[in-house]
Amino acid sequence: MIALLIAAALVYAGAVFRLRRRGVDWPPGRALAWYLGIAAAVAVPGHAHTFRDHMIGHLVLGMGAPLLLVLARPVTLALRALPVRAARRLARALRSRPVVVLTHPVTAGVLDAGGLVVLYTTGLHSGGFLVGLHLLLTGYLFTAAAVGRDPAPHRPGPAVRSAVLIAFIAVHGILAKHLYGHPPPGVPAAEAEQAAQLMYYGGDLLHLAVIVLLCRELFPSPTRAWRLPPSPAPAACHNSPVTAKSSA
Amino acid sequence: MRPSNTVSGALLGLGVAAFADETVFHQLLHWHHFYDKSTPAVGLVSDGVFHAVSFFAAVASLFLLASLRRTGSWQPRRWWGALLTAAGVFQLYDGTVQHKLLRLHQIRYDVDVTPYDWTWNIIAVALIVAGVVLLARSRTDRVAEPA
Repeated sequence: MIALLIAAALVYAGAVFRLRRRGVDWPPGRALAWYLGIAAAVAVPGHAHTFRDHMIGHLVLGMGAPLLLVLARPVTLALRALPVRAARRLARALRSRPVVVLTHPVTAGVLDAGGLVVLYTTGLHSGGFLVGLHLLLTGYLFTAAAVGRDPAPHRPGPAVRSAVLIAFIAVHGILAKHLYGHPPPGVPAAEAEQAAQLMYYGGDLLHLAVIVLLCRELFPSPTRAWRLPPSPAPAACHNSPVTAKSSA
Repeated sequence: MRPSNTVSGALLGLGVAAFADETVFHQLLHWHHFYDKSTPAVGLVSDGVFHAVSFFAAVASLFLLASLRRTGSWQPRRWWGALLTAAGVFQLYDGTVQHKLLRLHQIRYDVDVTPYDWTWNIIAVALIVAGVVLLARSRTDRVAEPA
């Protein structure tokens, strides 16, 4: 896991330097978000001793780190930094049917929330590396589908994404409360209660951040409107040498 | 789409009422818990959905309020009227349907709940009356022209 994360950090840095060399700026805030996200994910221990520790890991790996990584806009960066041909191939891949289906909020939400339900009702949560990776990937997928700023062709409108987000928050809260009364196999009741409260209230805090991001999009302020392009997709390609060349 | 004073106020009313219920009675006073063991599964699910909706509503309403203020179309009376009415309607619904008809949870356990129930529902009705009065009076308000 740590090796994967270090690789992600290096690739991102390499892409930013490539852009720099071509004289294209990349906002430092996005790079900061990427490195904070990776640092948060690295800080989670691979094998949690108690269920409470595991739950802290769940909040960080499944929600906190993915949110930061989404804000870092890795897809936009890749599209700009890759050579034209590779960037075109990536853009085509993003438009392909499997990717469109996978990144739909409903699919992403079912994978993320469904995975959590399975993990915590069967005791599979103590699975180590794979569980951590699953939490991080589905967390990223869902966060990107709900409030991502990367170009995503066929991303549904805010109404669909709001409904899915509300459903997801509901499932998360219900699962937390369920765990309070029904500890997963092998977990003592007192520990499950602590972990459930952590999941419930910690989850709320992180969901609040996601709701704010979505509402910012729903109700853009007039003073910010001039900075916001009508849709994320053209903005991502705007000023990019890649698309400038490809459209020429 | 023009943001609406009534929608913004009502959304925040719902959000605040739900928030106050959870914070004060569940977490600070421990009168009823977020998981009452006697609560049926349906109660758990409905609570989860309600929490998610009210949470979202509170944030959305504040964004609406911000844009009302910015465009100078905020009508405080109408906004507060909608807020109080929605908070009262929620509380009355909670106090009658959820507590009494569905018996999802009670305000308190191991005591005579009658005085609590009366207090709860009277406050709810008072909120609704105050809200409706404000809404009625707000009809004569004029929208300020944007500067």
